[in-house]
Amino acid sequence: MEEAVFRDQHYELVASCKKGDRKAQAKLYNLYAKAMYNTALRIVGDTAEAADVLQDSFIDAFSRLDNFRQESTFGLWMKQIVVNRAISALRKRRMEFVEIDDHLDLVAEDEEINDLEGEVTRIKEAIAKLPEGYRVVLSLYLLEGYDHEEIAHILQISEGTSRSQFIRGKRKLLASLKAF
Amino acid sequence: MKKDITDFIRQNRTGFDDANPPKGLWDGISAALDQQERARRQKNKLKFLNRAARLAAVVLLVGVGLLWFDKRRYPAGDYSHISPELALQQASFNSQIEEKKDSLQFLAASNPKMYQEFSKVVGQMQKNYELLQAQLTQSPNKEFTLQAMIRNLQAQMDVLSQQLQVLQTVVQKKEPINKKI
Repeated sequence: MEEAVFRDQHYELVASCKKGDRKAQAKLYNLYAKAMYNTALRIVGDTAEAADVLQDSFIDAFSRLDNFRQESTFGLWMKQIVVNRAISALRKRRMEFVEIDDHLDLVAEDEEINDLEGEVTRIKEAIAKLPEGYRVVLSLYLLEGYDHEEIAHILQISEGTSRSQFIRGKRKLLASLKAF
Repeated sequence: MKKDITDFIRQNRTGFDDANPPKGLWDGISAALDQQERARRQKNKLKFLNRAARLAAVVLLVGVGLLWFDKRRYPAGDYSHISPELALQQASFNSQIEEKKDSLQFLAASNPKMYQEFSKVVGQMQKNYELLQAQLTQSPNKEFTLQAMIRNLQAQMDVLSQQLQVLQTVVQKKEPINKKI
């Protein structure tokens, strides 16, 4: 089996940042700040807190960039830092992921959704209004592209809890969208 | 048409990243990184000084140890490890000088001014001798330095002999006067 040769499109820029080049760091910040801010905002649900998370994450990332061996993209590495910091911020607010019975909610799997028609904003707002536990799992799965195994690892919960939280969250999201 | 929300979100993914981070956030990040850099440099400087101090302490200890070891092996004034013949010569010259100095002191008792003048000359030579003696430990050619020390001792002996002769003449001249009293 041939191994995929991986190359980050910002490989050189990241290399310059490693040398402490402040201009390169500013450039990399400008490239990723918006996406990372939105990721943080979806998790913490508060603009001021998301800004704090973003600032701390970039300071953290640039000060330990030496540890980043550039085996994955800077974006993925950075996102991991942002997600972890955002989750820590939530934990400080004592967010709890309650273990619930898996079997009860599996019915919701094939729910049909009509009448969405590009209502991105509506969905966004509805996600933001979900209870914290649902919001985080749903955001990580649907928008950040993590699978349940990864979410379980990030949130330090079981994979089953991640799945059930997701299904419950999705049901609640659909219910609130219909109520619009 | 039936649509799954998961597919819908994934198809319109970019639309969900519409919030903008507050302006000026980079300035805060940049300032924090500058501060970290300064702290890191300061820490490195302290680390370097600490290491240098430790190294200096080790070098000093080793130096003192070697010196002590050397002193124990070769007591001061014993140069037999450099050359047994030269060491003998050096020891013999030294004892002769001591004798001559004693005689000089005895004869000059009645002539303090002259004794002072004479001592000054020999004292200067002795200083040169001590200088050579100090250089001996560092000298790449110890035998050569020891020879220079012996030449110095020889010169000291010559001077002392001349001084003794002069004093003896002076004392002999003084003696008849003393006898008269």
